[in-house]
Amino acid sequence: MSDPIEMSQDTVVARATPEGEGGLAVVRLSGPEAMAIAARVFRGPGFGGGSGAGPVARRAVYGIFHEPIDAQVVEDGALAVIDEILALPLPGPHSYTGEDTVEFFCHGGRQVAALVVRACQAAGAVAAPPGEFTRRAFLNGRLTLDQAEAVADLIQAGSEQAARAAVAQLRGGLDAELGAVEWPLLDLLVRLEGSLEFSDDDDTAAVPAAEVRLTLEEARDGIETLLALAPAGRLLREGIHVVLAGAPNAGKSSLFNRLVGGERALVDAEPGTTRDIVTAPVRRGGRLYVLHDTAGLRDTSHLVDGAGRVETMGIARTKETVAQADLVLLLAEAGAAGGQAWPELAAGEASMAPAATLRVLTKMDLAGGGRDRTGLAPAQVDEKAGKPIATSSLTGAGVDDLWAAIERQVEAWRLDEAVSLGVVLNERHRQRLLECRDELTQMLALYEGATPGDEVAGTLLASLLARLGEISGRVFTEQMLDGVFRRFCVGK
Amino acid sequence: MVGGGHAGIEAALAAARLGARCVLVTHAISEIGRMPCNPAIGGLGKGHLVREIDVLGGEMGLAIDATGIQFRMLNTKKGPAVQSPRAQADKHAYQRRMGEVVLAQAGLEVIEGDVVDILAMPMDAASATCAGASDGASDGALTGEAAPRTKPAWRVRGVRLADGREIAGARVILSSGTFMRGLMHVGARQTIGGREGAVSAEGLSESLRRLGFTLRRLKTGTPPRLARDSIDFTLLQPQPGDVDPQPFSLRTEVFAPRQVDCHQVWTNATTHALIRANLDRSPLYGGTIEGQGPRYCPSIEDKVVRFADKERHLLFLEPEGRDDNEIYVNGLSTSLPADVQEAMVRSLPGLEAARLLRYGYAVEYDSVPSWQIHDTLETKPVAGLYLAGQVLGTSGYEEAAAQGLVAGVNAVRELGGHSPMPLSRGQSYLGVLVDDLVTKDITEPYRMFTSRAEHRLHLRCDNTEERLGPLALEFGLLDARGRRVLEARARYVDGLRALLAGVTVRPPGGGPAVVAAQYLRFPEVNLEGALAAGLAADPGAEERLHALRGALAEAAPAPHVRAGAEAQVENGLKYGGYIAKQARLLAQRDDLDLRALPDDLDYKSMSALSFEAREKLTRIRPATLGQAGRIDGVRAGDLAVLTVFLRKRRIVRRQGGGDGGDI
Ligand SMILES: Cc1cc2nc3c(=O)[nH]c(=O)nc-3n(C[C@H](O)[C@H](O)[C@H](O)COP(=O)(O)OP(=O)(O)OC[C@H]3O[C@@H](n4cnc5c(N)ncnc54)[C@H](O)[C@@H]3O)c2cc1C
Ligand SMILES: Nc1nc2c(ncn2[C@@H]2O[C@H](COP(=O)(O)OP(=O)(O)OP(=O)(O)O)[C@@H](O)[C@H]2O)c(=O)[nH]1
Ligand SMILES: [Mg+2]
Repeated sequence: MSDPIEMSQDTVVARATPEGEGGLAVVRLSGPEAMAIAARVFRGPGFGGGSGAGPVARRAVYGIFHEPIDAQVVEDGALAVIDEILALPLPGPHSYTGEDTVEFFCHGGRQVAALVVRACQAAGAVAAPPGEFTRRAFLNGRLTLDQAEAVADLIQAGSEQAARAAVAQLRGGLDAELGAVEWPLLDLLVRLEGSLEFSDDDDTAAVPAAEVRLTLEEARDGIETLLALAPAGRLLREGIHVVLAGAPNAGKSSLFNRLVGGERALVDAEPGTTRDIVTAPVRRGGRLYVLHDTAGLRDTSHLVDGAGRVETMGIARTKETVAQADLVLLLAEAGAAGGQAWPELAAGEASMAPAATLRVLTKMDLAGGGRDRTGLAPAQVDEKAGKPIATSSLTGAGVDDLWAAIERQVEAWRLDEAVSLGVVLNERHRQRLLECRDELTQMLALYEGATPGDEVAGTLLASLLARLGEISGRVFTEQMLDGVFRRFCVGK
Repeated sequence: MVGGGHAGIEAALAAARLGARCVLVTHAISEIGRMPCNPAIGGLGKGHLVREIDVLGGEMGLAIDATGIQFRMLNTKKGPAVQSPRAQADKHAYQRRMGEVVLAQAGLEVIEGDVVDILAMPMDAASATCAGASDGASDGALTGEAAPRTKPAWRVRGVRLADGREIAGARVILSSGTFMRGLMHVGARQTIGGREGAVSAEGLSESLRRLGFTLRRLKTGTPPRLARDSIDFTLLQPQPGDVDPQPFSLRTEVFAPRQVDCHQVWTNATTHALIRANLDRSPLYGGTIEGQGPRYCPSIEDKVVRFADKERHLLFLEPEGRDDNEIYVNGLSTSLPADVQEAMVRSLPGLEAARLLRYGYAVEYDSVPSWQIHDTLETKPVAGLYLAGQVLGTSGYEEAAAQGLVAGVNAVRELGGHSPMPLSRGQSYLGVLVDDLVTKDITEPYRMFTSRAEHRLHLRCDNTEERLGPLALEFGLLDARGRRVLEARARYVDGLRALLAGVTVRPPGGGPAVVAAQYLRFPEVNLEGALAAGLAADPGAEERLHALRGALAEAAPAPHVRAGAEAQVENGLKYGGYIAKQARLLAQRDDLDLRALPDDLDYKSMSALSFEAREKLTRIRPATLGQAGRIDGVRAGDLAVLTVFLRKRRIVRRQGGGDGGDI
């Protein structure tokens, strides 16, 4: 990866509004050449061959967007017109990125926007990678780091829920939750320090060790709670990765198509149809799911031909995908007699989210004509795993049950809580909190043995608060002293 | 040097001892070293400062050792890091001694007079240009404020006295204490003066304003003084000094103070009722006093109002001298009218017939908010002008003396083209003090507390010599005797540590054999016990210890030197684990202290910074990223922005671009 803070002199172009439905798309052109490039593709007041004085800053003008002058074959002086659109010139530094910028407002969504982007590229702009505008805005001092992070989350927000969480973070949800951890610690610090600074006075009794312990434990619990919300941050930002896995021909691709609501994956009676991972996003209940169809898992060592090799590679990919899944749907064909066994999955790598598994029976319409209502083959009975969800991709039976089960599982990750608290932890926050938690654990360990002196506890606590302050921005020395003076009546 | 208070004394002595030719101008020679308030030196945090001043060659420790009448180690029930010495002074003896030392100092001339003007010449136009002034792209959020001026506009050239005399000086240190436009209040009665019986400094405030300084009004107060012979001490609880008093100074050789008692007395319902009934006559509550007073040293009326549910407050009766008839009532600072003060005092047991020799009063004065100085204590607007002491918004003799020493040393070093004193928060309370001064927005008189030091476990009284000794030697701050004692002590400490690390002992309670240094970390073991176990285990150890002690006694015969060194070794080992842990935790932040922030950054135009950060950074202009991070309201995100900005600026510079200042 390139150095994230390396300055690029390129002029970049990309859609600035999310890909998708909306009637209006904004294309942003940003960089030192923005005005010049715009003049090559746009003709309107202040632009192109129009009046000699350049564009008026911050005033949107209607005009004709066309293929670049030098790229098109000019016939009869005619321009290869793309559309009639609005252009907004924003000279730096008063633009989103802080650079010279022109924003084009295109009707007709996707189609026109794509043509506008292409034309700008043809006129000398470079396609902006995702997040580039925000990166430039940050480097040019237009956004705080926290804002940049929240905006980046918003840009990537695949779902309404993620967007709401990012907005809430801009409003400081994390701050409030951190405060709930910080203030009791500050109060404890006040009491410890009060007993140190004024030990000659009568009303500054030492703080009982049991109380110190209790406060530290509560703070640790508070941090644990915040950390428990950390997976939520990622799940909200990136979506929830759901992987379908099972033996060849188990009906993975068919169920995948059902869940996605379209014929995205190839289905065939031949086992081993799916070789590569097929991925599709699904928005549901305000959340973003990313579904992955995979190659069937089976022993391929006996296969020697080319097909075997490709299938082996496919299986390797399946395993990788499974390892990174948030939720694995383990599929097996129903059938009292001929049912497949559940495939064995190697334990996934430790990912931030607790990887969970749901067992799903497929092709229930074929299973034993109702003789056995569970559709389970003896080899599929697993007391610990509980009852699998029975489905049929042919009839659609059980698919809603499956969604319900998936949603129940996701509930357990407390995404809604994270959204309502406005707590979306990024990696930086998470690292700090982990350090603070470990710190608290070590302090508590001190209290297991001989109780450390107040001066030691106070010192450690102050440095802990300073670390929390690195997230919250609060500096506590003066507040602590203030608390001491408020609480303890002290002479000189 | 302007002002012969505690700051001015240390500044003048340090500068003269470093070989500079100095003039101390002060209102009255007889007033040099006067203690206008509490007749005591030291206390929590403050005692640490006195020890540091002492190791750096200052006078305060020696003076109190010679003139103290009661010595106590505070916080003995707590850990060694927060123990601090405090002593009652015979304030007249202290003042006399300081006056003698100052007058006897070679290279230091003392002149009586009132300084009314700081003389300065404009810096040449080119070097005085304002960085950032060319910036037209700031977002306007802070318009109306002056552009950051990073180059001083003036260079100091001396001072002018009220009688018109001018005294030339390449460097000027101003330590005028509470005297600038000093105004005293007793009830509704107002008197002009910096403290009781003294004049005020009326001209200086205006002079400083003309040079571009912002001033701020602060307030402090002092309690009434009683006649000793009018008090019935039989009704009061005595508070004696320590049985085994310890001196402050490493250099004190003979120390056998004759100690006197202080006494405790509690206020009662009658006292409180009197105060409540007369609150409207207090200038503090009547709104006459505009200056901000210290929270930690509230007046008695403040205490009664703010802690309404407390039925009594503890007061200490402290003699102002061994044979002095004046008694200081610690805890009864007030500016209520004289008749209320009298009634208040007489409501106390044993004080029914007490006579008030002097009334308590509050004093308001102009101070110079300390964001206007560098960490050398040189001012930002006027090159060559240094500030030290209460004028910078601190309070307390020790805080003042500490700054005086730093200013004196730095002024001379700078004059000679040498680097200033390297002070850091991790090495000394002096470092904490100076860093706080240049970093914090101080709105009340600043007092030192041990909790201000994040390296508190390391910054102990007992290891001051180890922390600051090398600096004292390198800068030549100690005389021959001081150097000899310091070096002998360091050798003894090293020897003792080597001895403890070199013998293996078998803990009496069983368990595996450990080196004596490790054994000393057991909670129930002290140095004596560890040494005894070591000597028992290794026959050669006894001889080595004997030799070490012999060498120390020869160079530094005073027993307190050995006691201090041994305390250092013991406490250092006992705290060792915590200190190492703290050091690790703080190392990361200290790294940031090495990353300088250029003088000419225009924070106002960095709209990526939070509004609060922009505002504070613009005013305080931190020297390093670390200091920026300690400013309240500057967040990790803001630091990240600054880091990125610095890197970007480097890259742009490397590429030969503009100055990158227009982020
Ligand atoms: C009423 C009162 C109450 C106090 N209460 C407390 C307290 O509760 N706790 C505490 O810790 N500290 C207290 N102090 C503060 C303590 O006295 C000071 O912090 C300490 O003395 C400051 O030392 P300094 O050297 O800065 O100034 P000072 O000791 O005030 O000395 C200033 C010296 O400068 C001289 N001077 C001033 N201006 C001029 C001039 N223009 N020309 C010539 N000479 C000049 C003065 O004559 C004086 O000698 C109090 C002080 C006063 C006056
Ligand atoms: N009757 C019935 N047939 C099904 C159902 N689901 C899948 N099938 C059939 O089972 C066969 C395999 O289906 P796929 O969805 O391709 O199975 P797969 O697990 O993706 O297979 P591979 O990709 O080859 O591993 C196809 O012939 C499907 O038509 C079902 O619910 N009912
Ligand atoms: Mg398939």
